[in-house]
Amino acid sequence: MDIPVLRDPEGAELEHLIAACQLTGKEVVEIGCGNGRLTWQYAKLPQRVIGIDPNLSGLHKASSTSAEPPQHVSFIQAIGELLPFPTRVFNVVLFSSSF
Amino acid sequence: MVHALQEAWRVLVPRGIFIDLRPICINAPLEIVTSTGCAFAGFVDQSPNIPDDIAADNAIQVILRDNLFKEMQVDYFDFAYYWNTVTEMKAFMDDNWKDDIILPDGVLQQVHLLFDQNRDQGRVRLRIRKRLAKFEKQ
Repeated sequence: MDIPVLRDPEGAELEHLIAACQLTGKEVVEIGCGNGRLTWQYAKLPQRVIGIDPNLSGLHKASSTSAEPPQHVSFIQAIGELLPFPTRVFNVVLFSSSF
Repeated sequence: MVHALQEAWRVLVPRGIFIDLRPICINAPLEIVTSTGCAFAGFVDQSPNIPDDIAADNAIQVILRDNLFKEMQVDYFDFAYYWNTVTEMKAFMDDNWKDDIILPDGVLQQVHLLFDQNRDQGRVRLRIRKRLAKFEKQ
């Protein structure tokens, strides 16, 4: 059972991320996305978002957060040391507490 | 860790941005928050994660030294967790951060005491300091 907790209701993390980095219209990969908590907060901005994490249970939560996930958002099981992507495809790589 | 950063460099377009967003392993204030203010209960010790923090910093230094990235910006902010009760806070910490933090007995007693004094309107808050660093691919 999930224990009730409120994380960053002030939105400080998203605010600082958006202030630091232009995400609108970009291709973004988030490494260590976990359950997609942060991913879904900014997901409407980029052209494409891929969240990766080695932990399948977290990825399942991330994928099921939205009843009808938008096509530009996806989650993949992978590790940061071996990214399953070709060279030079992303504008932003976000490591969220993941290395 | 350096391998992950080298992979980040590989998949980024020229001048692409790498963001390193993570908590800093410094003592985090635990407080009881009410509508009229907050009362400090003590610090949560995050030192168990200091070795990982140092390793991550060292990996960053390697990729900067190798001119893979250039540091553009560093920013700090508080990331707050709120619980409705001390019991929920303790259960959450035991479930999620068992190996990552130390909650001293005296701090737990103090947060219980302060919470009981404000039971009708108090919430428990832990403020974790986070660091956001921005790097540009070279």
